Amino acid sequence: MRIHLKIKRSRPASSDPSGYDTFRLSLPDEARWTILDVLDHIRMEVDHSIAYYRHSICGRGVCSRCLAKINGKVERICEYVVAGQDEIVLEPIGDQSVVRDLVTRKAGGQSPEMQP
Amino acid sequence: MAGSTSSVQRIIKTEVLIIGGGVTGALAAIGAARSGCKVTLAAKGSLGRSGNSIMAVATLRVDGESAYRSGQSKADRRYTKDVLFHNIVKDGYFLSEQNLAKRYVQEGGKRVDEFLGWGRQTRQRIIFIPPGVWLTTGKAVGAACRIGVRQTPGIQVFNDLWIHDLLTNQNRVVGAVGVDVLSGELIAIQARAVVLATGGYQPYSFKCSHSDMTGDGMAMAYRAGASLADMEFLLFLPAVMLAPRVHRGSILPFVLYVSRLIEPHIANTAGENLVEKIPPALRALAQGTEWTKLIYSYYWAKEILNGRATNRGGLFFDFSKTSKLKHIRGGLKAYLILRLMHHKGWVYQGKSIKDLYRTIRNGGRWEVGISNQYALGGIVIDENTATGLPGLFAGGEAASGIFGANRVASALSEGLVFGYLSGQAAAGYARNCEEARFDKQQLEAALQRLAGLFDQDGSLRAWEVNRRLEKAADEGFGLLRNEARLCSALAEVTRIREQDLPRIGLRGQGRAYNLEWLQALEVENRLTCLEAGIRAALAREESRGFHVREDFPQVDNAKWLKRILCSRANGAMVINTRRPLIDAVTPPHGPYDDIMAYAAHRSREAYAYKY
Repeated sequence: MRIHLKIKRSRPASSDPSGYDTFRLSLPDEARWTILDVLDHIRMEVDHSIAYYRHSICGRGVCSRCLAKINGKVERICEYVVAGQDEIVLEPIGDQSVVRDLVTRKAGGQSPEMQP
Repeated sequence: MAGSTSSVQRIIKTEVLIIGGGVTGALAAIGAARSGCKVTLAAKGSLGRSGNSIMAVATLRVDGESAYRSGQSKADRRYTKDVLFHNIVKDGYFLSEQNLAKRYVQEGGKRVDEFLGWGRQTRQRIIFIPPGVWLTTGKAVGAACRIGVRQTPGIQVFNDLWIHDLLTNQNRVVGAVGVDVLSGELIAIQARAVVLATGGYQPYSFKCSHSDMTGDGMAMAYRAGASLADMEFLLFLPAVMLAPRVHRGSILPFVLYVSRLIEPHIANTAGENLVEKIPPALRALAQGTEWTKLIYSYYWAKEILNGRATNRGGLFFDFSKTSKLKHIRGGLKAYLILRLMHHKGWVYQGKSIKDLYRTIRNGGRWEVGISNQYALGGIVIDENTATGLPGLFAGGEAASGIFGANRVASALSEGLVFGYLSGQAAAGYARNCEEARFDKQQLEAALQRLAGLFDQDGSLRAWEVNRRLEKAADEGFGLLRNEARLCSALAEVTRIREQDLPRIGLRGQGRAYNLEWLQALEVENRLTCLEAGIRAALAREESRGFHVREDFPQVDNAKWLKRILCSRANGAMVINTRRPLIDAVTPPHGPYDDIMAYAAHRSREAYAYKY
């Protein structure tokens, strides 16, 4: 299946002036990759600079640190299985300060929600 | 900020520094704050949302006596502290420091009680299972920790603050250095006392645990001069999902199997049922006790070694041979439990499992393997959690000495008990010591080590080095070992250290969320822990619990009732041994033919109070 991923980048010098980079990948039809799997693949094989919450994760829907907006809706990227959709748009969540690409201070850092 | 700036960008001053954001870290912070100290907690990820604490099923074990006193009328009061203590020591193959095991048993009840109080405020389910086990979810465990910390004044929490090295001054720990993961700033923390609550190490490619398990605290302690012990003992879990990819690493098959909600054949590639290869006495021992993990992993590993597993090391949960009705009933029960615990129905740990249920109904099969879940080894501590390095304390999975060669009691309870004790001990030390002062030269050197990676002129990727490390562990350091494969693994580890680490290059020069930078630093910690594990496995020429030598299958009680310690001397790793404290339960004198012969012996002893 072909997947078509558009990711909002925070670097001012991103290749698309609108701030989105597009990645086109071919996965085996029976593959059940999550967005996390796809981003790992992109980071290791295509664009090393892509940033998403990855340094301390459960990878299975328990910790909720990997939140991102997927086609406008907030989801955990470790849970969302790609299924050959027309286009998947990834954006950082909310209006919290973006650290880099999909990493924000809402899902990490010292935001009030995270302070006990 | 790019380039090779290595000056500190933020200094935090505190009295007690807790490194680690799971159960152990939370309890350490609470213990220290209650003793009147100013406490700072640094979590690599996020307090209560990091580490193995949240991955658990999760169970908290107490003796039946304590459970009964907490109001559980169904608790079995005959399951006393003494019975629990005896089980821990004997099932641990007698390598426990018996004073540590005693502490675990003595303090468990009150710590679990208090924890349950926080747990009830999370509005998540907590169920009691006689004789003395509380069952809840990993998510609830993390939430309860956050509530406990929030309700304790005097604790400052920093999330996404990854600590890489301890700082010492005149042979005393005075703080630590690390990185603010989001901004990339170099951070130095000045503290009178430090607690390492950083969890275990997991060196293999097949993971069922949290990404945090890179042995950071163990490696830090080692570099600072403390000792590690029991590193050769890694606890394996059988029946972890291997495929499909979306479910890889899930422990759901294991959980369903031990709860008897599913009863598949465990088929090897020749179609034989693994369970029929396990002697009936051991099958009975496994049923309803924590011996399941060692017994099943052992026989599983034999199938892999004898070429009767898939190339992923998998066997099959084969649902074609057992009654459909039984499975439908089991499936419905599982659904109800999932709804009860997680409120979501056919979802387990975030993934839809409808497809897995369909496989059962259609008489298909799941591919499952064995996966390292917990590290029995770690930093050496005394019964007050002191490491021997003044000012440094440790607890939880990062430390060692309670469970010996085989853990049959709850690791979460270990975190609660020794987390709290370490916080109190650290506070006691902090109140009586001189003010902490950095050794300026050492601080600069430590910061330079962090920042220096940006100057390293190499083309190797950190994730590639990680893969090589995992391959060495997979091929030479599994559950079943021999000298040749261990030596081969050690040679590769040495090669990675000498040739690969200096050739790591960072493609991104920016500091903000530079994952490659952090992974390059982490891989060094993982490598140190793996090296300690392999060296200890080579040194231990016998078999015991989760260490099995094909070339030395005997459990040799005459010669090997001792722990293997790894420490640093003149830049190299050296091995020592020491006998554990044995003051309450006497070990056997004679040998056993193999680890399962000892297990058979245990199955014949009075084992009335099973989990």
